[in-house]
Amino acid sequence: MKRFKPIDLVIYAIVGGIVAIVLTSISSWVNKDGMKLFETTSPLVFPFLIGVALFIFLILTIISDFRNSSKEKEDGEDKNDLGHDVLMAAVYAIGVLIYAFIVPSLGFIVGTIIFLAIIMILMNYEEANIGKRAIRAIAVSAVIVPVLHFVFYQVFNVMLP
Amino acid sequence: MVEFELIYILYIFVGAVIGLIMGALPGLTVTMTIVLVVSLTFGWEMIPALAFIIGAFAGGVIGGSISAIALNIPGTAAAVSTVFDGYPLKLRGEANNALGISLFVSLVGGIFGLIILTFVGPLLGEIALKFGPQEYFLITMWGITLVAVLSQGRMTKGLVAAFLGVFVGMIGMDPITGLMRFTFGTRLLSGGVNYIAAMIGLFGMKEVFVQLKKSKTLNIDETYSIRDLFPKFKIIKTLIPTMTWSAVIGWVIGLLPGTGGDIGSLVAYGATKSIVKNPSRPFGQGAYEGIAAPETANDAAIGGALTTMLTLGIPGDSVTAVIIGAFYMHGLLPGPTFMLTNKHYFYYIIIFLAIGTVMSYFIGIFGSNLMLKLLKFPKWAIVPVISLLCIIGSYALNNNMNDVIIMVFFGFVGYLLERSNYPVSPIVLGIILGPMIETNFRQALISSKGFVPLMTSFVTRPLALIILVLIIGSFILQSFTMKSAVKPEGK
Repeated sequence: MKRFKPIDLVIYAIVGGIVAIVLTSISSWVNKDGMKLFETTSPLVFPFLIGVALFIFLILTIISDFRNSSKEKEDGEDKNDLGHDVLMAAVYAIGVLIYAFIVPSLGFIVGTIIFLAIIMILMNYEEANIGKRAIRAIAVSAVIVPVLHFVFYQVFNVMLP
Repeated sequence: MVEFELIYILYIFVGAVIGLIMGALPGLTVTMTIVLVVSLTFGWEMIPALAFIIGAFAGGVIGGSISAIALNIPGTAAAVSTVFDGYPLKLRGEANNALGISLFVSLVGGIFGLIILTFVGPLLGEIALKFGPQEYFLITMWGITLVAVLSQGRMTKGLVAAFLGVFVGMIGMDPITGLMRFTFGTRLLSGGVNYIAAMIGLFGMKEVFVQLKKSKTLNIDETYSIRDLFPKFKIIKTLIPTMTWSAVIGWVIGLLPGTGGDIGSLVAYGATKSIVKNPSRPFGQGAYEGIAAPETANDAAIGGALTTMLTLGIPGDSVTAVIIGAFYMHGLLPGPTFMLTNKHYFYYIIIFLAIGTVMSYFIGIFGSNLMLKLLKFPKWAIVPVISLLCIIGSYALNNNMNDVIIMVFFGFVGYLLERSNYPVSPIVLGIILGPMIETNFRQALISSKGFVPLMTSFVTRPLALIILVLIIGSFILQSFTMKSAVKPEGK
């Protein structure tokens, strides 16, 4: 297992999980619901072929990654960096979802200004002074959000959260 | 009957400006631009939406070269090979010449692609009318496997990505029997995965996650001389042969299902390197030919990709996959019958693209300095705004949060896949082509009355056999040309 990067293992798990879902669903339809798999009109034949194809390509990918692992070890990226990046992306994704669910109760303009300002403060690594960071972030988001609101809602008639 | 209103020019103009700016910003791809632009047009009438989307498409492809030359960072994948000679030319103090040539040959390539589209499109449409499910199945399979195979050095990962996309396309109601598949009993998935939300996630949100790490503001302290951006006749004259074969290469590669301007430009660059024995300067050190070849090809590929998309209903690359998704959303169904039932839209698209290409050329020249200033805009301000646009775009699809959840999910999964070196474009092609592959496969299976007769029909039906030969030939040719095109740059 040490020959694989953790991120590769995550992907194997995702793809393997999908293969398992496809094949177990088909098995359940065949065994419990009495549907036939290899019939010309069967709705299961195509998903079955896709499940099998995914499984084969996953195995080939694992073999290929295993073969390349020693080569990549020398010039590969730092595992800590990768873990940090993925964690950052996950936190950001959760932040976006929280924003999306909170904004209807706060209102688009207020909720979005707060959301953008927080992210801008966190992302502005180049500015060491946290006070300056905050002022810039609040100023930029306070200008951008009303403009976006006007453009999307008033000009393009797009519904906003 | 094509009725043209002047307001359409305004839509094309705004689209082209947005496309040029987004295309010029490193990390913001043409596909991402189109996805975000599409999300603005949900409530629009068809023709203004077409004008806007096509303007952004034309602008985005041309915009990619601006940062390639100024910063040594391609704004888009199609501008990767422009960097090889564009940036060295800039270092020699010829930034004006480099950008001037790039914009001019893009204009020539774009117009060439359109002219061929105008003549070949209707012919191909007539041939496509003779296609049965067997032929369609082969062509659609060709599309997703080719894009996967061309994922340089990552073929099996490309295939995994493509089939993941096909799986996503299967979620929801079975198109023939109505059986609910892979929905886990949830309402969220009962209508299937909204492909536009998935695309916004895969191309928009995923890029936001990627950019989280690269938040450094770019340092640019130069300006272009507008007058010098108009190309010199002396230089252009020497580039005519390069432009000619590059335009043909770009158009043909754009035509192949699953390939587009990014591959077309690489192949054209590789071909030019091997054909031109006495370039203006050695390749890699600022050869004019090294800029002309990829930039002509990537714009000519637009016409090729649109030909396949409009006449066969098959997206030529990830950008046209998004555009075809947008067309579906607006009730337009590209495919063999498109030329019979919606011929006027075909001509609208050509006219809009021609205007968009010419406009992008002039906006590129007169707005080049403004765009350089925009490149200096801090990433910490751009990235959160892009994520906001992704949220607005996915929410506006159906005015509900389910699509936002789907968008964020696909963005995160796309990010994980990319970090593990899986290409993302095959997933999108798989999502779009998956239902087409399945429907045609099953129709072919039913009409052939069994698996063995189906396999036999691929060689006994003349058109299917021709497509099969083309598939095998293109795989051999593409692997060969890709190898020769990519190898020299790796040095």
